[in-house]
Amino acid sequence: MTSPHCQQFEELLDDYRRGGLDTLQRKAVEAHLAACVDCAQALSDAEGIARLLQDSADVPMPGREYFATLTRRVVGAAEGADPVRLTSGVRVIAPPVASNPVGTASQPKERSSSAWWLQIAAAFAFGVVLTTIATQTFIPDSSQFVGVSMTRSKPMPERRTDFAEGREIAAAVDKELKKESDTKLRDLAAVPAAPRAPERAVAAAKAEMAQNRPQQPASEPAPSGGMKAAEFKADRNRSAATAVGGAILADEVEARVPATRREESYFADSAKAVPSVTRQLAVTEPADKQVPVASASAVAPSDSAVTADSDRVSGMAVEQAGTAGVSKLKQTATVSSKMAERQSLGRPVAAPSAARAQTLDEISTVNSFDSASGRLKAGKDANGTSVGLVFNEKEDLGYAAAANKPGKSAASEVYFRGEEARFRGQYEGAVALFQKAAELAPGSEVAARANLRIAEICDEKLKDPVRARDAYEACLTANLKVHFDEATLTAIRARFEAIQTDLANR
Amino acid sequence: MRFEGIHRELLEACRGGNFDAFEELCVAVQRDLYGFIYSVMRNHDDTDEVLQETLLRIHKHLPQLEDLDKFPGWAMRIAVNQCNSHHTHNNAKALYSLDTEIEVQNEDVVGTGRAPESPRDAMARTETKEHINIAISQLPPKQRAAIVMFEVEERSIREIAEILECSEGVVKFNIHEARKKLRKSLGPLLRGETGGAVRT
Repeated sequence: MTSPHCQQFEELLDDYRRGGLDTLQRKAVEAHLAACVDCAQALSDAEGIARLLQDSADVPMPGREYFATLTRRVVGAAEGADPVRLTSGVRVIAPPVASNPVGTASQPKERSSSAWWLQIAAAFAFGVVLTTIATQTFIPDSSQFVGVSMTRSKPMPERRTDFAEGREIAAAVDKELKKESDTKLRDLAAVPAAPRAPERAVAAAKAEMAQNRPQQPASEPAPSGGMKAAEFKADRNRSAATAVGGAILADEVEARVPATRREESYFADSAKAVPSVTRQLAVTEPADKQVPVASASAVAPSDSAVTADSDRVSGMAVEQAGTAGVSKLKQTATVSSKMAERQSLGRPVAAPSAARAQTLDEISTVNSFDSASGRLKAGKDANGTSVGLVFNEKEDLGYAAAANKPGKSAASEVYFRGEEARFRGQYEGAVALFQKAAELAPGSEVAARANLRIAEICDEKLKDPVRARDAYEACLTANLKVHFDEATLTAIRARFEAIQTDLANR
Repeated sequence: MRFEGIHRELLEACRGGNFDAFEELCVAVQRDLYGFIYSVMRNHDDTDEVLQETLLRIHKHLPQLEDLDKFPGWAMRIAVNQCNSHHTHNNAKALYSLDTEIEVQNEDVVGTGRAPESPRDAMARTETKEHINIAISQLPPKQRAAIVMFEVEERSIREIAEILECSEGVVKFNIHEARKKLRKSLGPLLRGETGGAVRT
């Protein structure tokens, strides 16, 4: 329908469908339709849409009781009664209706505009009065007030800002970490005194903070070299926490940085939202596990030219944390400690994007599937580390991993794999998959549909009336039948009874 | 919209503040209005809410209706306006399940009066209907009202233009746009493909 000629006919198509054209016009339209594929398609689509709309236009008309109630309530509301509720729970807004309203507009605005500003002003004045009374009456003396505010301190807007910034830093660092390959990370694990990945994380934090903090005085010498790096490392350890067996307790950090207690409590509260934040601080720098604070200088890394700067930055970061807030350090520490924690526990280190699960045992959580193929795309291992999955045709990891994770989502995916099998004509396999789907989410809609599929396949394809009967019967159980509409249930009952009768006659 | 049982005296009595007459008017119009509003809103809860508002506005503004002969179109206009202004951010999908709680009076609607059909056919029909309902509920209100009035109620363009208080050209445009979107969203159904697989 591109040419102007077609546009002329387009306007006539609706009248043509409804028989509203005279003979001459009708013949002209028919001649055009015979020659123009686009217009013929447009007419076909219009007819199809009309048919679908009309077919779906059956209105499930409520019963008399509903309309009786509705009438009662509406009339009651019109008579000026209070707002009422209908049986469905929908609140009737009953505007104050004058018994004999006057006016000429066809439908004036509903909202009464009379003195609305007076209502707002009155509400404001009332609020001011209440606030004044509360201030004079209920606020205790200043010492009590401070005590209360310390113990019940809430996150302040600027803290949240810091936190958001920290998250951005962490995300940036995490992104960088992902670039590391498994091999490099394993190599890194073999070098306990020079953890490159955490340093890189801190370096990223440095770059971020350098933009936000004022320039340091030029007279302050920039530490460099192995000894200075070690000093800073020791200083960092002293200022942040004491290393006891490599584990730094978050509480100890709090105790040694009293100025940041409120930030700590904020982060403790926020740990639910970002669970790694506070907990990760507790295992920061486990690479220092074997390094007592006093002998920090003794383990100055050989490649100090590289690490010195990182340590200096790390020290600066902690310094800042002690004075201005620990949020950024925490965020960077979160990232670095993820790697370090895994090293300390002897677990394989794997960057999320690089990891690929090769066996089912490595998958404990299914994260996402490729909806097109119905196969697993990503999951998590037992340690909570994200892993991708290389789909293996033979082992069918996608399905099997889903099967390891009971739940509606997995059941749904298995259900679709059953559909795939059914479309391929692999009916026994499809039945097995549908049974698995039903087992994964018992009582769910997926289970209901899966059972119906089983019944249908056994009934029509496999000619197995016993299994078909059982599946139909399962559909009629209390927890599954709620997922079918009345018409479907009626049909299921009819088929179930027919099979039952047939089996009895045998 | 037939609005059977409505006569001038009844409307005059309503205008005079007679609540018995208004009750009678409600009884006379509520089923037709419910049917139309449901066709647009596609779920009971929204229909219920819009219908209440429509009836209350009919009562409130009836005294301002100068020509009582135009009551059907005027009432329809109120209903359409209420449909348009009703916030439908709660998508229809979440509300369909509530429909099953309604006492169903017309049994033919659910198919029990028809020839027996297989469970699969019954479910496919339900799914198709839900698919169409969702597609319609995703249309902008004016396009939705226009296409429903044109295709389901088989009103003329002029009639729809009067109800929607706009030009015939605007009505045609809305119908055209609605068709375009429905063609896109209902493509498989239009091509005769049944939606077998349903994602949960």
